[in-house]
Amino acid sequence: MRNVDELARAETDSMLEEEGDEPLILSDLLNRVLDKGVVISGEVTIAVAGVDLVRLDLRLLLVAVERLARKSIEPPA
Amino acid sequence: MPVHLYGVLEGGVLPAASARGLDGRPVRALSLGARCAWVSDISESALEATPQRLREHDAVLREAISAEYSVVPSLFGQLHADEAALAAALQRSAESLDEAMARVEGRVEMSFLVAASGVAPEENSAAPRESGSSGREHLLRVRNRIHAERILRDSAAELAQSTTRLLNELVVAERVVESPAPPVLAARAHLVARENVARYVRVVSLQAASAIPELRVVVRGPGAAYSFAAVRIG
Repeated sequence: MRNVDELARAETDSMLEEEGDEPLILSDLLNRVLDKGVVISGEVTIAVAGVDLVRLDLRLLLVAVERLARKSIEPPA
Repeated sequence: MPVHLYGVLEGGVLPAASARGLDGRPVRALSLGARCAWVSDISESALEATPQRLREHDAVLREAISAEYSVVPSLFGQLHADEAALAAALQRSAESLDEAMARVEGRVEMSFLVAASGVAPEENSAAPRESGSSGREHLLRVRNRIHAERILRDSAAELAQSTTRLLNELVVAERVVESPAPPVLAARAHLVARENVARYVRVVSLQAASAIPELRVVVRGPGAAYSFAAVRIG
């Protein structure tokens, strides 16, 4: 018998598969997995793999820079 | 050799022997006392971010989550000069790691996205027809399109809010994604106890079913808690 996580995951994956919308998944990854790490670390160059990603990457970079700027003016915790 | 950090787990938790990370490289555990770091050896001194590598980074942590391990994720792009440098960095971040580990214990990140479905709204009979080619008609079409986009964005925000209200009991913490990248119109990430994952998916699925045709909702997870426990190691 599959546990709760496996059931939920299967359900989620099947939803994504039905949707078949890769840009949505990629958008989600860009919003969460890169985040401020990109700018703060300075170790990553944003790469553009396809025409559809240009806007995503630029938006992400802008958001990351904005967060960095905000962080720099916040007093240390 | 530089190492790429995927995340930090409790000591003794090993990736599957077949686990592969960035560019198909093996994933191994670097034991550090009470913790271990899942890493891959990287030949480059700087790592270029590509969609494929992002997916691979995320997939390693999803596997760990799937095995019911508690994971403090690393954001993509944290490279360390070698194992010793990483060990020293983890030592310096010990306090933050302790807090993050406590936060993710028995919890995972779930998220939902609201996006345009691509279904066009019903044609407004009062709207100018495409055949008209005057500047005024063109501007009216632009105005109508902008108006429709604004309505869709507002509807997405309302849908996200109402979904969040329904999820209230299941959620430990929430992150509202500011200015989500297109084509997403609204997005929320939630920290959720493992035992509530299935209920979370069910609630969001019901909301998705009741959404207007112009919108659709996609639920993602369970995954690593990037939005709530990612620690900057360095």
